[in-house]
Amino acid sequence: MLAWQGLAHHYAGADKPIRYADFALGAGRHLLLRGASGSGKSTLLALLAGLLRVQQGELNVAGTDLASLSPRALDAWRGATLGVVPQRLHLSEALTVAENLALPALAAGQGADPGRAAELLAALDIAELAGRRPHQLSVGQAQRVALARALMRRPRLVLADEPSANLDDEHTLHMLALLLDAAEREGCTLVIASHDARVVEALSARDDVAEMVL
Amino acid sequence: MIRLAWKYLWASPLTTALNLLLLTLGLAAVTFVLRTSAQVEAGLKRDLAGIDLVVGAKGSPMQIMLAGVFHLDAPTGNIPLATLDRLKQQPLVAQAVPLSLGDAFRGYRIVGTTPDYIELYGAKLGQGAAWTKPMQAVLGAEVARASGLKVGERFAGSHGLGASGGAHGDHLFEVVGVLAESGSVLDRLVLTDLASVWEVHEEHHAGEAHGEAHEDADEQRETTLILVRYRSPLAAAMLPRWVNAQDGLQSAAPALETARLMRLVGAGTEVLRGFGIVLLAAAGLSVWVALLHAVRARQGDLAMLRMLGAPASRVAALIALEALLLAGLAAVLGLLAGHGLVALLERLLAERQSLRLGPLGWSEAEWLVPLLAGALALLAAAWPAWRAYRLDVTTLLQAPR
Repeated sequence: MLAWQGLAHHYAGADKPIRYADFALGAGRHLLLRGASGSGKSTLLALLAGLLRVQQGELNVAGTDLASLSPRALDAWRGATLGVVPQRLHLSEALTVAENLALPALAAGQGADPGRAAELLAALDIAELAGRRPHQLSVGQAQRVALARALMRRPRLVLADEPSANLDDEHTLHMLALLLDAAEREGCTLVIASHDARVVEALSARDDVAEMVL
Repeated sequence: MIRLAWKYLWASPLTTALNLLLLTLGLAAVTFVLRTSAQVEAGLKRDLAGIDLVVGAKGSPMQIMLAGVFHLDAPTGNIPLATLDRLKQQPLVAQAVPLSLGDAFRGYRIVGTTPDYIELYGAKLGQGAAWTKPMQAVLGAEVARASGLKVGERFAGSHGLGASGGAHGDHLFEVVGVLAESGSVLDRLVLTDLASVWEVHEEHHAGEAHGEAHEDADEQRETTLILVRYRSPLAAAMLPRWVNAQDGLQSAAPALETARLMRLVGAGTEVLRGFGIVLLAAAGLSVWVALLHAVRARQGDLAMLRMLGAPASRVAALIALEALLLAGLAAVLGLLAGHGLVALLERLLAERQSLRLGPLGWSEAEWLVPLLAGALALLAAAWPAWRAYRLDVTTLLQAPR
């Protein structure tokens, strides 16, 4: 599902490039990326999402060599292959929950899929929230909506960046459970970037989670 | 995308409403100027009706033209009726139509003339027939509508060209015809035989305190103005000079005087147009600031769209689309408001029995309004859209909103 070799990224003005040890992740497994701030977690996530161009080395995600894609093709690939749950969720306040779930299709230039949205909202036990706006949701409800949005286009890979940021213990565990359940139900691979000890503790115990420390 | 842009547009209703108001006011002012310019020009052209020259008593050519062609100003005085024959004898004159003014009916001018005057405008009788003898009158369509007079009914004119003169109660006109609406100056005139005016005024003057007698009336007959059509273009160079050389006569070329009038009116039009452009510039600036603010406030949303697979160009297009939707709405409202203002002006002019702006409708120049709105929107959206295009997604998705 994921593999890179000799991967490195050099930001303009930086003294030296960030180098990543070679890595491969088989199908049916998930990845926990650990590391302190500035360790290169976010850069690796951006490379995996095709938001940063591969400058050095090889990067294969879900069977695609990302270095070979044009910027436009990378956008299309990202929309079709990737789901993202960002650290701050980034639900649009101008839109209702249902409209937020239509964004992945609109971003790809396609029509909304209300059936899929209803299916995901029901699966995540938030079917009654479709007409609400993000500010009317609790933290837990907003997390579920962000996850539903990530799953809308049936991605093969879901990236979750610091999913426990600003969450208490209960919500942290709940979020992890949601991610793992959804991955199992949808048959997708999770890449979770976190330096939260609670997340590390919860995921380390699982056989299907590989760990990479940056 | 349109629906999404619409949602984002109204996410800040107060800002959007303010921008919409500014844009609408600017576009309404531009619409009003375009519409009235076109209508005034069309109205003037229609009333000119191929009249090449107006001959009146010595005075201002502009006044003669306004009095003789548009019936807006008082005439400069009377001229001998013999002038009509002398003009008709000129080989360069194709047609000469006399107009005798002096009385009015409820503010509508009573014009003593010949049936040629009706033909000059290609007007048709809607009811009845033309006059065949003095004290018979044909009403313009608007006069008939406003007064409610019908064929066979009688009315008295009042002295002077306004509505407040003393009535000629002992000289009643009989309505023998009503003109069909022509959209020309004839709609707001009462037409009668030349002799009717002499009959009313000779009696009127005879009855006045000074008692001045008109024993040799036939020789001293007067008319007020004469409308002339040329037989050949050469007449334009010769005839005005000939007229002006005659004692007490003054010529006015409607084409020249109308152009001069339009230049005078044009200054006002320019001011209004300038005002509209200032409003539009302010609106454009306001939309620009609002869009820049929106891009900044919505960086997370836009970055998320990029993250979800939207190409940078689609995200930039979303911003441009927001501006275009606002501009489209403002163009519709601006056109409606502009037309509303023109209708209001038309009503005011009708109440004052002044120049008509012509039928309401859509003038070609008005296509400029949505184009102007669209261009302004794209100009205002260019920089914000570029900012959206260049959004650094990696940084934004990590940063707190």
